[in-house]
Parts: sequence; structure tokens; C-alpha cells
Amino acid sequence: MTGLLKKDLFVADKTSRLLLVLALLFSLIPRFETLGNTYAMMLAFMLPLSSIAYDEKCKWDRYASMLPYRASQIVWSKYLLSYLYTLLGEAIIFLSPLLRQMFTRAAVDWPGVFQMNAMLAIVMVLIVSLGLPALYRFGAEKGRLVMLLLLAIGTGTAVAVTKAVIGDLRITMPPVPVLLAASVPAAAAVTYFSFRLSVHFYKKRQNGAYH
Amino acid sequence: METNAIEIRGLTKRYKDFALEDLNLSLPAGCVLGLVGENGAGKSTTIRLIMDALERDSGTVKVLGVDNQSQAFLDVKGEIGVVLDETYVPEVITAKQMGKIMAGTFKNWDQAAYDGWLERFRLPRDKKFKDYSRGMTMKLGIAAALSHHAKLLLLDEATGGLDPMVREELLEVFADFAAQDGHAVLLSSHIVSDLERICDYIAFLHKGRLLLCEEKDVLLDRYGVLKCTREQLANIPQEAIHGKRVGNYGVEALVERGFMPRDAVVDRANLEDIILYLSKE
Repeated sequence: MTGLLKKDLFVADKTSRLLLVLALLFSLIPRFETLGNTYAMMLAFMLPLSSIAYDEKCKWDRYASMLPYRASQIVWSKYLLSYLYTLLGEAIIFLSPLLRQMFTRAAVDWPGVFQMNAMLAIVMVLIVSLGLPALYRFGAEKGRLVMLLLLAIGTGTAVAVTKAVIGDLRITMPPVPVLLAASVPAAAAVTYFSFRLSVHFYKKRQNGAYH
Repeated sequence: METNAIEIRGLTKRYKDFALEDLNLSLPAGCVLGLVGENGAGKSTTIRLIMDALERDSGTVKVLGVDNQSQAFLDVKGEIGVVLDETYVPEVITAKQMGKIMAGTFKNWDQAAYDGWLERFRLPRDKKFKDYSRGMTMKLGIAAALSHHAKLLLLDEATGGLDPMVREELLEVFADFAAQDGHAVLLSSHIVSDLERICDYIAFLHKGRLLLCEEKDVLLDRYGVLKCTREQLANIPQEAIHGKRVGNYGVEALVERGFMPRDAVVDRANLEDIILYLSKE
């Protein structure tokens, strides 16, 4: 499967380098840290999305299906690509407070940074799990709109539920580490079902179901 | 190696507007099979089904002795070189990067062989695909297909749209590959002259059905072209005639020599004549 990842990395090479540098610069500007961090994490979805769009444009899947890969490996490579860029985004989020600390000697709340990073990683895994099946089902063009719609519905629901739990029902939220620990198996389960769905859509697409 | 590099039995794939019906086809090891047919006849569908890149409705396919729906087929895929009508590789990729992608794809990838092909085809290593000519792009696809010690080569319109010199060069490469012990080639094309040059067997697909699959030399011996008047044609046994073209000055017909009177003068038919007449039959 390394061949598939290499192909995607070669394709995204210049763009990803530029976007990662921009994300790092944003996250270094005071008051823009949150924007920079969010931007860094969004790359984890933006770059695989553009990779799928590129594949569609050159009909790469026709060739890939002739190579010694299973459909599941071809699909999984996109998930891996997302996780790789998530890691790079995380590296930026760690790097920016470190650089700020070096230059301004300002104190950094490292436990807070770790917690923020872990939460963002889980959110990204969920976004990727939501988005990739949509891209395989509807294609890169329509899929990104469907994905945004799903994201809006998902975020709205999450906000409403959180508000109800914390505000109206006056239930105390568990500490962040507990929440994080609980969300890891949930994210793994969502990823599993998302992956199965993506493979299903990919195979149907290969057989001309959505053309 | 098995006797047949490819063995297809009762293969059927139906779409809304097209069906490949009950295909039975064998490619003996050590041979070159030409798959000929008009655009949309089902050649590419057949190749995709051979590689299990499409779900079939019924039938079986064995490649290099292995059922193509078994777990073991993934390893067999590593022994097959495929060249499609386009390279279908992102246009920002270079030949050098292509080598790295393939090295991560094929267990038997041979970088030295790949470098050798790039040199032989005079392909620049750091130039992006988008700056390649069609001939160069196809050569790169072939270089990739021949650099992992493949035993079987599947070529889907790999010579289409190329100038005669490049086609000649590539046909030589395919013929050299086929000449090596145990190698086999399936070459799909509608350029019949290419098939006539290097194929041992010819399979003719027409509207999703296999009209014939025969040794090329047997075909060329069996059929001939008869040029005569309408009156002379009327005296020829009907079972001998497989198609005719009537002009102002006479008739040209594809005839089967075995049914012809001994004194009849029948010219040699080329593969293109045979295919054209049979498709109109």
C-alpha cells in the first residue's frame, strides 16, 4: 500500500508544503492561534479531498484496479493519508507554542495543549469518517457539499446536546481526560463503519453504479 | 506454469445498454492473443473482468492457473503487467516518482530494469506527465508494466493513437516479451494490422459476443477473397460465402476455401478483410 500513499504524497507535495507552512505561520500570530490550529487540522481533510478529486480527474482508479491492490487497500490509503496529515497538523499545534515560548518566554499550558491536540485529533478522525464515504458515494465535487451538510448537522446536534446536558439538565460534564478516553473507542467504531461504507461505495462506483 | 495463461468460461457482464455474453476464451501460455473488435465491443470490459476490477454476473476466470476471485489472485496480479489505453496517472507525476510508486506496489519491482526501459525509450526522468507526448506516456506505462518480472502482459489499446514508428517500436517490445519462456500477451486493439503482425491467436468480439477465437494462421488459410462477377458468385456454394461487397464492375467476397471449387482463383485475405466481412455477416 506504500505505493498508493507515495502517489498521493507526490501529488500533494507542493500544495501540502505550502499549506502546512501557512498553518504554522497563522498559528504563530498572536490572537490567530485558534484559527491557525483549526486550519492545520483541516488540512487532514482538505488534502485527501483534493487527492480524490485528482484521482477522479485522471481516472487513477482504473489503473489502480489493475495493480495488486484490494479495493479496501485503495480506500484505506485515503484514511491513512488523512491520519498522516492529522499528525502533521498536530505537530504544528505543538510546534507553535514551543516557538512562541522560545521567542517571548511566555508560559505555555502544556497539559492544555495536549488535551486540545487530543480532542482535535478525535474531531478530525470523526470528520474524516463522515467525509470519505460521502466523497466515495457522490464524487469529489458533490461529495464535499454533502460532507459540509453532514458536518453542519453533526455540529448542530453536538452543540444542542451539549447545551442540553450542561445547561438545561444541569449534569456536570466529566473531566476532559475521561471524555477523551471514552471517545477513543467511539471514534474507532465510527472509523470502522465509515471504512466499510467507503469500500462499499468505492466498489459500486467501480462498477459504474453512480455514473 | 499452467497450460493456459488465461482461461475464461461462460463469462457474462450485463450493463443497462450493453452485455458481454457467455465469453469462452483461452490464452495458451507462451502465446500472443489478439482481441479485436469495434469500439464498445467489450474488449476493455473483458480485460477489467480478467483483472477482477469489475463484478461479473456469471462465469469463471483463471489467470496463471488461479481463480481471479480467490485470495491468491492478489499475488498473481503482481505477475501481470497491464497497459491501458491511457496511463491514468496524475499529470504532475514524473517518471522517477512513477518508479517509486511502483516499487511500493510490486513485490518483484526491478528498479534496474525500469531504469533500463527509461533509457531505451529515451524518457526524461524528471519531466511531468503533462509535458509528455502520447507516445512517451504509453512508453512509460509499458516501462512500468515490464519492470516487475511479469509473466503475462495485458495491453488494452496500448498502441492506439500512436504514430507508425512508435507502434513499430512497441510491437517489437511486445514480441520480445512474448518470445521469452512461459510469457503470454493479451493485446486488445482495433488496429488489425498490429494484431496480424505479432499474434498467434485472434479472438473477435462483436457487440459483446465472441464471434471467433482461432489460430491466426488457420484463419488466414481458411478464408480467402474472391473477385468475380455476380453471375460467377451465384455458382459458388452459399456455405462458402461469408460476406460480399457488390460494386459496379463486379463482386468481392470473403469465402471459405474448403467449400470452394478446386479451380476457383481465391486471393489471400488479410486479417482486416476477414474481420470486416465477418462483422457484417
